[in-house]
Amino acid sequence: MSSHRRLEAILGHCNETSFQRRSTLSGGSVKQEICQGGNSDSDGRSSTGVRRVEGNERDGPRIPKRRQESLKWNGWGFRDSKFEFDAEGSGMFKGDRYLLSGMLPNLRSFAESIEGFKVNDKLQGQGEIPSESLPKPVTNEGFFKEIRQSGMSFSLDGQDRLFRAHGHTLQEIFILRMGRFDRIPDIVIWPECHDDVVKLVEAADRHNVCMIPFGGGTSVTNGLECPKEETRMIVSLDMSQMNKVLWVDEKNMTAHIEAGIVGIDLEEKLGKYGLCTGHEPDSCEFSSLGGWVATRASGMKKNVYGNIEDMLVHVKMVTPKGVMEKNCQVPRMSTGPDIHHLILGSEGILGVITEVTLRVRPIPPCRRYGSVVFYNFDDGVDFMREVAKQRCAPASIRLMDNAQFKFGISLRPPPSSMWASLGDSFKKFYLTKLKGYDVDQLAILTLLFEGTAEEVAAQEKRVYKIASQFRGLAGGEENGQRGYMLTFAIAYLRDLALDHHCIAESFETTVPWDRVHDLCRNVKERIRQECKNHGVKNEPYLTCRVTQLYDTGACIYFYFGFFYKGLPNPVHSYESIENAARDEIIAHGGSLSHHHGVGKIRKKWMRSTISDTGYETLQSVKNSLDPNNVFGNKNLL
Amino acid sequence: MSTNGSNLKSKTDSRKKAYTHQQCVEMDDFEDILEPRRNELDVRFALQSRDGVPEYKYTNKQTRSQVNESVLSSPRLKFTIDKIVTETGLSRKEVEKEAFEILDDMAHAQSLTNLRTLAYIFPKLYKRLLRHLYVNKDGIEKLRAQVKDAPVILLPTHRSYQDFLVMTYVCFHYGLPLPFVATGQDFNKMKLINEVLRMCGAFYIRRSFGTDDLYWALFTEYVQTNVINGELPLEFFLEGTRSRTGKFLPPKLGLLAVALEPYFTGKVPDILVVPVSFTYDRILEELLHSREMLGIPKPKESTSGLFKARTILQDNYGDIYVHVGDPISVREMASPRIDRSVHNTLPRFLFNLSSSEQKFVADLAYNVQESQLRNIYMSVWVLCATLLMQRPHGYTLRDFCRDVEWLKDLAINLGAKVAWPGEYSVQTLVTSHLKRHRTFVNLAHKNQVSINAYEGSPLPPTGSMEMNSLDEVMSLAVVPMGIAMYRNHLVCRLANVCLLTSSFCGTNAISIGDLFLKFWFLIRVFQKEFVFKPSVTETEFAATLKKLESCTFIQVCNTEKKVEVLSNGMKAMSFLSKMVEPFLQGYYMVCQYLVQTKWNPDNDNKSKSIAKNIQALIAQKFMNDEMKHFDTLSLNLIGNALTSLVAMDYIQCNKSENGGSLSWQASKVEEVMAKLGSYLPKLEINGGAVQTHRTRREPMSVTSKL
Repeated sequence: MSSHRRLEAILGHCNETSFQRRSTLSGGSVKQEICQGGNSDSDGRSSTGVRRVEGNERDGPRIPKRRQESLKWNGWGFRDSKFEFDAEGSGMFKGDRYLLSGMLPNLRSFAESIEGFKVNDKLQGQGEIPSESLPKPVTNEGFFKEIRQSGMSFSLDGQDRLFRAHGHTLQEIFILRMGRFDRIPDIVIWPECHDDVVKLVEAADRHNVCMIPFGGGTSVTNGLECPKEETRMIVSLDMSQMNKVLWVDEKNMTAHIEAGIVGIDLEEKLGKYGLCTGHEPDSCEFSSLGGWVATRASGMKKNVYGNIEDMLVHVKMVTPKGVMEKNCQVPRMSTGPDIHHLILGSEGILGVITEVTLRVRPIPPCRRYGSVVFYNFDDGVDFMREVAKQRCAPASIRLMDNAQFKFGISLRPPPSSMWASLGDSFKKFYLTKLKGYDVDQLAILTLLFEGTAEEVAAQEKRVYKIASQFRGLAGGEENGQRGYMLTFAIAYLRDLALDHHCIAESFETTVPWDRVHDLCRNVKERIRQECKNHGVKNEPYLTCRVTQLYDTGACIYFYFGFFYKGLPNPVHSYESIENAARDEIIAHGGSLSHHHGVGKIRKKWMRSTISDTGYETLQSVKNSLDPNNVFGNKNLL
Repeated sequence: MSTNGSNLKSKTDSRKKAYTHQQCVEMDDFEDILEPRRNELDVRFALQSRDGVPEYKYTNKQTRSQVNESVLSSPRLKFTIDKIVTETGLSRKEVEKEAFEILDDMAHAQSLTNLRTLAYIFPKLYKRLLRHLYVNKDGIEKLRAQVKDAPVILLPTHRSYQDFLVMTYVCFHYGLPLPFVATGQDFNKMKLINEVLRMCGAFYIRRSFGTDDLYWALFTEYVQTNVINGELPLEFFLEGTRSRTGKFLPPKLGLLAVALEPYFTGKVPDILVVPVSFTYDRILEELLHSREMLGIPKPKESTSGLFKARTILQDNYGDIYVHVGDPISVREMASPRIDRSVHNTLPRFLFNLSSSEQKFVADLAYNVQESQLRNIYMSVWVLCATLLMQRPHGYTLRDFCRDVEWLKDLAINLGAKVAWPGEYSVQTLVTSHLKRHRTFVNLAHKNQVSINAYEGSPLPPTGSMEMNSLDEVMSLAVVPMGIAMYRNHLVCRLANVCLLTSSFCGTNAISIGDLFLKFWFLIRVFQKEFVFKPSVTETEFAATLKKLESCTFIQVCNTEKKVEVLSNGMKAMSFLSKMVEPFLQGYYMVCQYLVQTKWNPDNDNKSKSIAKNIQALIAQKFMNDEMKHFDTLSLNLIGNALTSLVAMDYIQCNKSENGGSLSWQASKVEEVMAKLGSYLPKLEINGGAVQTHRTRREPMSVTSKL
C-alpha cells in the first residue's frame, strides 16, 4: 500500500488523479477541457489551494503573486514541507504534500555519518529581513509612469522584490540566511500576455532600464542575481501569470503554451487532453517553461521524450530589436543556422521568451519502476554504456553510487510490520552473504519504464538481461521508486544541512563514456584534497550519480557537502572548492554544464569552452539584439 | 649465538645514538636495517607477513596475464595494429603474434615466493659485504603514509647494478609494496639471471626503439596499465643508465613522460614521484667504470661474467645510505600551470603531451635530480678522494687526517650532507676507509698516504712510471680515474660554489658584474657536465654568493659593487676552484684540438671518432709530461665538452643516421678557448712543460701553503 502512495508522490505529485499505477490505466478517464487564454484570475491563489486540484476548478497559477506566502522565503519549496529533527533527535519530513512524510528512523544515523554533524547543534539563521533594511528602489520616472498608465500588475513591496533577487544557488541561500543582498530588483511586474511583454521591453529600451526575466526562480547558477554595479532601475519581469495553454493541435501533436507556466501545471493541463510533454526536470514543481528554454533544460525522461531542444517546435522571444521567431511550425528545416539555438540557453541576456510550441505525446498507459543492484559503481557504468550502445534505455535510467544508495536507505519509513523488517534483513542477508555483495561497494540503478504494457514488459526483459551480464541483480520496484523520491527530497535536505552548519550543493556535467569512471573518481578525490587545503577538518560528504545516458556519453550529477563550523568564510571556501572541482571536470573532458547553465558562477570558463571566436560570435549577437543592454543580468558572457 | 647477538646489539645501539647526535647527519633519522638481520634468523625475515602493506586506494589488482591481456586488447594496440596492417600488408595474425611475443618478453613476473627466497639469501650476502645499510626512516614513513593516495614512481640515483636490488630489499624490509622496475634489454640476454630479476619485478625495455610503432605502443600501454592499476610502484632510473663518473647524467624524459601521461589524461587522480638517493662507500663496479671512461670496452653483461666477478664477495664495501626523499605530488606541482583539457578533443589512446606538459616533465625531472643530489651523503672516502686528487703523493697520515676533517667542515658549511660516524676518531675513520680502497691507495708505508700507480699496486705493470705509449698512459690513468669518480660526488654537490670560486680567476677582488658574467659562462659551458637546470639564473648566483659570504670567505661590498676574497677564505676558495680545474683543463684541450686540427669534410668527423682523437692528443701531452690531470682523458668529459660546444653554437653538429658528425671553424673555437683559458693558471696555458712537470712530481700542498 505504501509503495502505491510513494509512487504517486514521485511523479504523481504533479497530478495525483490522472496517473494511475497499474498498467491497466487507460486514457478514458482523462477529462477534456478546452483551455482558452485571457480569462485567468490574476490574483492567484492562497497557498492552501496548491495541493489538490480537481477538474477545471482552477486555472490560474498555483503559486501566488506573493510567492513568499506559499514558498519558503529562505529555502527550497513549500513553507509547510521540510526535514526536521524533533526534540528527541528523531528525523522526519513534515507536511503531507509529498508522500514522503512522517518519521524517518534512519535519517539521524545517516546525518551523523557526516563528520561533525550533530542533531542538537542547530544554527539560528536570521529571521525575515524587514523591508526597511532592504535596498531602496531606484525609480526611472518615465518608465514607471508608463507602467502605471498601462494598468499592468506591479509591486514595489520589499518582500516581493527580495524574493526575485535570487535563485537557489548556495551563495544566494546563504545570503538570505546570514546576510544582505547589495542589489535587488526595484520593481516586480506581472505581464499577462505576449503583447504586454512587447510593450514592456520596448518601454524598457526607451527609458534605459534593466530587465531581468523571472520564471520559477529555481536557477542554481546565480542567474537571477542582480549585478551589484547596476545603477539603472531593475525590473523583475515575473512571467508566472502567463501560464495558459493557448491551443492544442492533436493532429500535429503540438501545444502552444505561454512561457510562464510551471511544469506541474503544464502536465496537469495537457493531461486533460490525454497528452503530456514528458519533460520532467527535478524542479518541475517550480520551474517554468520559459526557464527551461532559456537554460537548455533536461528532463529525467529524455530517453523517450527528448530534452527541451528536441521538443521545441516554435518559440517567440521578445528582444529590444523586435520579436524573433520562425514563420512555420515544422519538425525540421534547413535554413541556415537555427535561430532556436540562439534562444535556447540564452539565459535572459537577449530577450524574454513569451510563447512556446512544444511537441506533445499521449500519456503512456503503463509506467513501471525497477532497480538493479550492482557489485560496484564501475560495473554499473559499464552496464549503462552497454544500454546506450544497444539504444534500449527506458524513459529514465539512473545509477547511484554507494554513498547515495546509503542516503536512499535513510529515507525509508519505519517498517510497517515485523514481517517487513524481517524481509529487509533477509534481503540484505541474501545480497551480502549469499551473493557476496559488499554493502560498502554496491551501487544501485533505478529505472522507469513507460509505454504500453507489452512495450514495458519487453523493455524490462531486455534491460534486466543486459544487467545480468554485468553482475547486476534486479532489486525490485520499491527501490526504484525510492530512488526517484531522492530527486525532490535532496533539494529540501539542503535546508536541513544548512540548519546544522553544513554546506551542501550539487553540480553536474556531461562526459564521454571512456572518461566516466575517471571523472567520477578524480573529481571526488580533488574535492577531498581541496577541502583539506581549505582547512575543512571533517571528511566531506561526496556522492554522484549518472543521470542521463547518450550514445556518446553520460550526464553526471554530483552532490557535495561538508561540515563547515569553524571556517572563517565557509561560502568562500565552498566557492573555491567548487571551482577546483569544475577545473577537474574540465580537465577530464567534462562539459561546463549539462543542464544547469552558466549563469554567473561559471562565466569564467565560457571563453575557453567555446573558443574565442565562438565567444565573440555570441557577444556580437548580444550587442546587435540588445545594444542598450536592457537584459543586463550579466549571465553567460 | 644469542649472547653474541645481544652484544652486537648494544654496540650498535650506542653507535646509533652517537650518529643521530652528529650535526652532519642533520635531521635525517637513519637506521641500520641490517642490524636486526644480524640478530634474527633470516628465514623469519624472509617469511614475514605482508598483511599490513599499504595499498593505493583505487588499486586494480591484476595478474600478469590479465595485465598482458588488457594491454593487447587496448584501443591503443588495436589502433597501432590496424595501422601496421594497412601500411605493411602483414596479416593481422602475424602482427598480433609479434605483439604477444614482445610483451611476453617485456613483462615482469614479480612473485612473492621468489622474492622471499631472495629475502633469505640477500641478508646473508649483505651481512658479509656491508657494515651497515642505513635508511632514513622518516622518508619511509612519509612514503608509507601517502601510498594510499596515488600511484607511486620511485626514482633512485643510478650508480651501480645493485641499486635495483637494494631498493627492493628496502621496500621488503619496511613492508612497502615492491616495485616493478624498468631494466635495460641487455640484462634480458643474461640467461637465468634475467628470469630471476623478472620475478623480482624487472621488466625489460629496449634502450631505443625510435620508429618501431608496435614496440612503442606496447611499451606505453604496458607501463601505463601498471601505473593506473597502482598495485606496484613503478621504479626506473631517470639517468637511463648507471653514471660511471659519480656525476649526474642529464635526465632521460621518455619513460617519465609515458608514466606521467595518465595524470594528464585524467586516468589517475595524482601520481607521487619519490626521489631516492643511494650513497655507497665503495661501488662494486668502480674499476669497470673507470676503464670504460677511458674507452677500454666494457664486457657484455653475461651470467658467466657475473660468476667470474664473485671474487667481489670476499671484499668489504662499507656502508650504504639510502635516502628516500619527500614525495612530489604531480597534481600539486602541475595544477597551477597545466591545462589538461587540451586532451579532451583527442581519444586517450593516442599518446599526446602538450608542449607545456613536456616542459613540465623536464622540470619535474630536474627537481627530482635536485632532491637526489641534495640528499646524497658524502662518505669519508669521498672527502679522501677529493684531497688525494689534488695531492696524490706525499701526504703524511697526520696531515691527511687534518685535511679530511677540514674538508668535512667545509662541505657541511656549504650545505653538503656528510656521513661522519661521530664515535670514531678521525684517524680510525680515515684508515678504515683507505683500507677499504686499497685498490687505489698505497698503504705500504705507515703514516704515508699516496695513490697507487696501478690497481692495487704502487708500481705500474711495466714497472716503470715513464709513459711512452697510449696504452701505458691509459693503464696509469685507471686509478686516478677511479678516485676522480668518488671526488665527483662532491664536485657535483658543490658545483655552483666551485664554479663561482673559479670565476675569480685567481684574483682576490672582482666586480660583481664581471663575476656574474664569468660564472654565467661556466654554468653554460658545464651545463651537461654537472646537469644544471636550464633555468639557472641570477638568483642562483646570488644564493651561491650568499653562501660563500656567510662562511666569511668573501665580502660583498654593495656600494662599490665589488667582491673581495677574505684571508679566511683563501684556502677554501683555492681548494674549491681546484676541484673543477680538471674539467676546465679538459675542455680547454678539446678546444685546442679543434683549433690545431683544421676541419676537413673528407675526414671522419663523427663525434665519437673525434673524441678518440682528442683523447690521443691529451695522452700525448702526458707522454710529453705537459699534463697532470688524468681525468681529462675521460671520454665522458670529452663528449660532454663537444656537446656543450654544439649547444653554445661554437661548433656544429649535423645529425645523421649513424650519429652526428661535427664541423667547425678554428677562429670561433679560439674564441671560446681563450675564454676557458682565462680561468686556468697562466703557466699551464702557456704549456710550460718544465713547470707543469714539476707541479706533478712535487705537488704543493694546497692546505699547507695557505
